[in-house]
Amino acid sequence: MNVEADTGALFQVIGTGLVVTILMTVVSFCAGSVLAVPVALMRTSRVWLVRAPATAFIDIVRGIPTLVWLLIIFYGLGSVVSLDPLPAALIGLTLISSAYLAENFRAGIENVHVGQKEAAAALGLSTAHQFWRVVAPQAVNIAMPPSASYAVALLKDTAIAAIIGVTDIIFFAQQEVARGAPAVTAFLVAGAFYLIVSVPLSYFSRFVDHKIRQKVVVV
Amino acid sequence: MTFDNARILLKADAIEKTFRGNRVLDGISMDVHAGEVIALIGPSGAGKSTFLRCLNYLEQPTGGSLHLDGEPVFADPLKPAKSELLSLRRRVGMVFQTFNLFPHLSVVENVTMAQRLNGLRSTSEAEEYALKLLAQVGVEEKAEARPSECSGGQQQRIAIARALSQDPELMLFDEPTSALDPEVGNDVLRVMRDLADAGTTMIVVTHEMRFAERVADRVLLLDEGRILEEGPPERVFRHPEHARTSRFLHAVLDR
Ligand SMILES: Nc1ncnc2c1ncn2[C@@H]1O[C@H](COP(=O)(O)OP(=O)(O)OP(=O)(O)O)[C@@H](O)[C@H]1O
Ligand SMILES: [Mg+2]
Repeated sequence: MNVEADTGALFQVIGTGLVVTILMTVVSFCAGSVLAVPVALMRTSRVWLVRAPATAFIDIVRGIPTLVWLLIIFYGLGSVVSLDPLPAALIGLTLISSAYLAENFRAGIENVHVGQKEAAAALGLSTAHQFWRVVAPQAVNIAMPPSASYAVALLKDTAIAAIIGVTDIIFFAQQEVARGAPAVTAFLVAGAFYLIVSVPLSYFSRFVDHKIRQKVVVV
Repeated sequence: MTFDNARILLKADAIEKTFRGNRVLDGISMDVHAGEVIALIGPSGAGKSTFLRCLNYLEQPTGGSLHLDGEPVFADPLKPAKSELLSLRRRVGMVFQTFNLFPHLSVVENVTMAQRLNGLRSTSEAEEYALKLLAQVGVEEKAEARPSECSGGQQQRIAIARALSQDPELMLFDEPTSALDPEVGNDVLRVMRDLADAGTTMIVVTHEMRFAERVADRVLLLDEGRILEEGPPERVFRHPEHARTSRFLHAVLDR
């Protein structure tokens, strides 16, 4: 047996799942960020009736394992409407990332110094301008580093989607193992593909963190 | 330091503030004449900041009322309407102890933002006016910098320019130099003195007794939420009526 050729073939086959893995990460991170904004706004409301549903959403979504969510959505929602594995995974991962990112945004909003809002208010800015022009940009800056770290966690979380049949890196690795490829080699190759994405992402998140620390010196 | 005695710009009437049962302001009344400079002094915890913040409703008083130019500011002082709040705050500028510049904006943007968002001036007019104000407070060379690239003294002068950008009729200062080294603080005090000389109506909470003595037309000593002593600086500083006043002044001057 030619081990080198086999490993090369494994890289080729498993690599075809890379696009789907990246797609799941990017789409659910972006859609999750958008969805996280209203959730975070509700979460920081002073009105209990507005705050409570957001808190419940975040706790419930984060309190159930990703695997279980994907199974619930794929089989549950899938029994109502016809749902392919990939859209089911995207819905689940978007939901989950929106809950985590909403908590990051909330922490960002709450960590903007109170003096900022007061200074904006004292200038006669409307409540909306106080928030969108003064608090929100700083909250995003504060929320950026933890959110970039979350992107790495999310990337790894997408590996679970193979369970419902999404054709990602893990899906192809398992397929090759089923066809007789050595399991350790197949999953080492899979791991290598995750590293190809996660290492630059981690590097980027550290870079962003550093940049923001330089820029935002809140007195 | 001359002012139009006839025109009362701001009238605070029996302002009260209670924080969860803790009575911090015990019915403070005060008339501020147009062009007048008032120094608000008093021991820590006397309620100076709270009172100042009640004047632009950063803190909503639990009693009393405000009048600007003879008109009540709020139809119901306990239920301020949004439009009434905005209009009050656009007429009254405030400078904070900790500057509170917006760190995500450049210096000039700090000064133009409210002008634009409040519809006071067009973008180009706002920019032109901002540069003029920055020159007036002596930081025009920092216009494009970030606040974090400016010294504390520069930041506070930028904060003054930012407050002035709304063309306020009254300026409130809450210990504007307390967070600064004395030399840098003097640059800020000089800007404030220029404003006073130009006829700006100002209320200044301060521990700078020298500044109060030279620049203020009237000194108010607040103690336990009440005005304990009030009068021209030479009287309050040289011949105070109350023993507490002399004790406070000694304590401050001995520092
Ligand atoms: N938001 C608040 N909630 C509860 N109590 C408050 C609040 N703000 C101020 N106080 C209380 O009101 C009192 C007056 O505070 P204030 O800050 O007005 O005093 P000050 O005269 O400005 O003192 P300093 O010279 O130390 O700045 C203090 O006892 C303070 O604890
Ligand atoms: Mg104070």
